[in-house]
Amino acid sequence: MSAEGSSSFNFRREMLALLPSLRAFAVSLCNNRDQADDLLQDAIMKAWAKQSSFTPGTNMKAWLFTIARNEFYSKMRKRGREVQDSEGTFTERLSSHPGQESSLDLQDFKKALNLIPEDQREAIILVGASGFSYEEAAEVAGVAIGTMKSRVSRARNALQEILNVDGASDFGPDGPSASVVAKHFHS
Amino acid sequence: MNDKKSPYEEISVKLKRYYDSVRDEEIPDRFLDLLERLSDAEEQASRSAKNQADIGKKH
Repeated sequence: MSAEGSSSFNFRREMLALLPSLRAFAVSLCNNRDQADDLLQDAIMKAWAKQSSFTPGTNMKAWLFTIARNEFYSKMRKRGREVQDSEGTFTERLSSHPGQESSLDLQDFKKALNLIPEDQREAIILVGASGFSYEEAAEVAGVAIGTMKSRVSRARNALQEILNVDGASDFGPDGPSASVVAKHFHS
Repeated sequence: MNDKKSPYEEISVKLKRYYDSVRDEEIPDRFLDLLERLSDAEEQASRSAKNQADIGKKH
């Protein structure tokens, strides 16, 4: 009996089915589309290379998202922490939305999403959009469930504040959002 | 009950709409190609491994 290839579980087919969600996760998490494309590509290759470590019948979506988020953080670390909290990063974040097909309203939402800390962003995407339970999301992010819950609620508060304060109109780097942003980044 | 959405609800709705709008986009060809290449490479590798094994048997 051959365990490989002939099993009814088709890794490639399952990957294909999950690709739209995985891509939405990458795009939501990253500051811009180029970064998201790079992330998605690396995540696909990583997942493919690690496919023997996946147990068919378990949650493949959570498995894939875990690979993608780990890849996201390792890329971020590689990119260097020297620019992470600097104004240069904000400027880049604020101005990078070319190639997006979403409506203006959604683009504004994405800008706000880019302004909150990555761990909070990740949390609210996993729970609020990707359809994971708090428990699953905690597992994907490798944190305690209480930590996940508090990140989600901080993300909601931060987004609410950013979107209200700015009326989702002008996110100039020197605009009034700077203080709100700074506050969230240092909390 | 009333027409005033809670701010949380509004954030949730926007997030979901944003995420879904990306999810519903067509997957760019480069990613489909990538999966195909990975799959082909794997098939080829297992085929040549099998050939090697067959050759090994003959000798």
